[in-house]
Amino acid sequence: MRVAVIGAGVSGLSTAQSIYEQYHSIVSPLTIEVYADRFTPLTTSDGAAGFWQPYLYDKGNVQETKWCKETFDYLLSFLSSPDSIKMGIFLQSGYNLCSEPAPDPSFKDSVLGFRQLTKRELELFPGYCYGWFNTALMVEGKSYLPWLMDWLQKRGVTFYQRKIDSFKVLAESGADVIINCTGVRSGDLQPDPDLTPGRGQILKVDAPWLKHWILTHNFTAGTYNSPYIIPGSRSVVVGGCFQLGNWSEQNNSEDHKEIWEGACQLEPSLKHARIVEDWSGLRPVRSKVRLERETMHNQDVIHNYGHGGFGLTIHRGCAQEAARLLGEILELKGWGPRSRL
Amino acid sequence: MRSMTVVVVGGGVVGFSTAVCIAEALPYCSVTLIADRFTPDTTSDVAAGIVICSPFPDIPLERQQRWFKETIDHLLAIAQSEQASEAGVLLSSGWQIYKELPADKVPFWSSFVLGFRIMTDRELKRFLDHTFGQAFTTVKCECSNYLPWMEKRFRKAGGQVVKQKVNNLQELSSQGYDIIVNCSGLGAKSLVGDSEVYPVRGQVLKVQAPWLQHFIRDGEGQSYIYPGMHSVTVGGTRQVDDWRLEVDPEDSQDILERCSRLEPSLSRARVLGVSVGLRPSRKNVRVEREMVLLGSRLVPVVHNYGHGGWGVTLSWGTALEALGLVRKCLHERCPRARL
Repeated sequence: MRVAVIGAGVSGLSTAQSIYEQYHSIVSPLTIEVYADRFTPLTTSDGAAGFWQPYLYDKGNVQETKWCKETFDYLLSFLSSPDSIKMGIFLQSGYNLCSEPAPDPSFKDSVLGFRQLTKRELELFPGYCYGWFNTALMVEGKSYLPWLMDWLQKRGVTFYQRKIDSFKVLAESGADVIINCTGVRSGDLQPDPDLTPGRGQILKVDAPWLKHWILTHNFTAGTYNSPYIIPGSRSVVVGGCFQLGNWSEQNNSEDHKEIWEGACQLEPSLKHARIVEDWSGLRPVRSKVRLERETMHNQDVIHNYGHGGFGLTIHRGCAQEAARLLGEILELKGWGPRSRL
Repeated sequence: MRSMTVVVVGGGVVGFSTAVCIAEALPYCSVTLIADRFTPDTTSDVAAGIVICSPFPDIPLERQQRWFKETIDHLLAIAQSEQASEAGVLLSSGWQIYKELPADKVPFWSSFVLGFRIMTDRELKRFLDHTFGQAFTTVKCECSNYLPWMEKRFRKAGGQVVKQKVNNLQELSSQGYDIIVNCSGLGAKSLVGDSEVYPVRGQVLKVQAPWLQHFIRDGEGQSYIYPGMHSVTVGGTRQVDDWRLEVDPEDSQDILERCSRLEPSLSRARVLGVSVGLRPSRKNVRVEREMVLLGSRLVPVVHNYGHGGWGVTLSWGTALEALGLVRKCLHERCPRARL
């Protein structure tokens, strides 16, 4: 069986991984190919801070909360492994700050040591009167994606750098199943009015004295449209903004100014931090993740895109589900354990 | 009338904290700090500088709590300011873990650190040998930055710094100082003949592990991992009465083995350096004043030494108490003087 994955961000690569893990001993031969116009370090997943945290509330998308938790547990299990550093996985604690009391977030049971902030802690953040502290995970795209590619390459997965213009192109070349992990540009393959870019800009800063992530939440401004500071293993990511419908991947100086001022107000010690560079990326925003299979013109396609600002956070749960959907296709087509093609 | 002259002996974290407290609070005093060693060659420079401590047996708990609280509040304010990076002060969260349930499940300073709580089972799962733990946020104060920053502050307040070995208090009295403040740490053993002072040798490694964001401390105090600004301090040893300042490679190996058990990823960290410090230990830290006959003069001496492994942790609080004692001395000397 030939599986063609389009997209080499965290969704594409991890779905290829899940498919290999679940089917390589069941279906033989199993050929997995990954097609993408952009590979690490140029994908959206690479620019993201790599902080595991879903949006505060899932708005009823309980399945997404489940997939996020599955991803957290999966990443946590690698912490003691010799690969953890190469994978870019490590624990980091921090603060979620609100300007008014708010219900507990969807991820409170997924993370470690979740609790309300004490009065004294809130004194560290003037302007915020409520919030939570917990220990979460980091999974840095710039390490995780190369690790995934290496993992896949070692198992015979092949990569092709090219922009796929249509599902038809792959169908005609003999792909049995297409996995669509094209993120924000999925609309190029199949129009999706529910998919829209959520432009984000971040500043990468040298501030090695910061050891906690700090996220602020402004319920009027919306998710990620208020300051956040996320230290990484090499630099600190400072954000943010969330501009729906803005397709520009160019850095904007006004956004830069607003983001920097907001961050310095939140964390005065940043005043003397060196700004390394800016980066802009387009979150693939959708009302809910599109994770389903579709048959068009006899061609099986599994969609796995639209993860908004929580792609890294949810990737494993979705990849496993996408692989499960492939299993459904295999059953329908009678490609069981003893099939040989 | 002439201004009073105060001399502070010792250039470590206790010496400079005390000198700054005095110089800033008593602008009409002239304050000089004298030491034979300065950063980066002090004991404080070797310390990781994490604010945490064990109680002294004979000092009332309220007094130790006051020292702890004053120090951490002082450092927290710096951590939240623009000065944080220059001063080398940062917030640090992590876990203190125990193999067996400790007698004191809640340390005397628990309400002064941030967010103190007992660890959940899920959090403890990572630590195979440990059955109990505490999670909290404290402060890390890196003396290689903090001491130069304090010196700047001291000079700004009019303080003078002199590099000189002081062999006995007599020398200082002959130089005419009105009040002597003794922050000589382990040096107090010879400087004031205190036989109760003894070294507890500590060896630490500095490793490169930028993915580590939390401190991990074994409750017994032997093994700890303290991520800092530019490296992670991994330690340690507690060798009583051991005066060796040379690095012991067997200690290094032992430290890495023990700490890698706490944090497996450490085995892949590059070692940047190894250092040794002699904690200026004493059964109880000595913060008190006495009148000492030096030659023909009766000189007030304020002692502030013997902090053991808790120098950074108690630095500002004991400095403030020493300031109070200096004030008392000045008052008795010149009740109507402007201080």
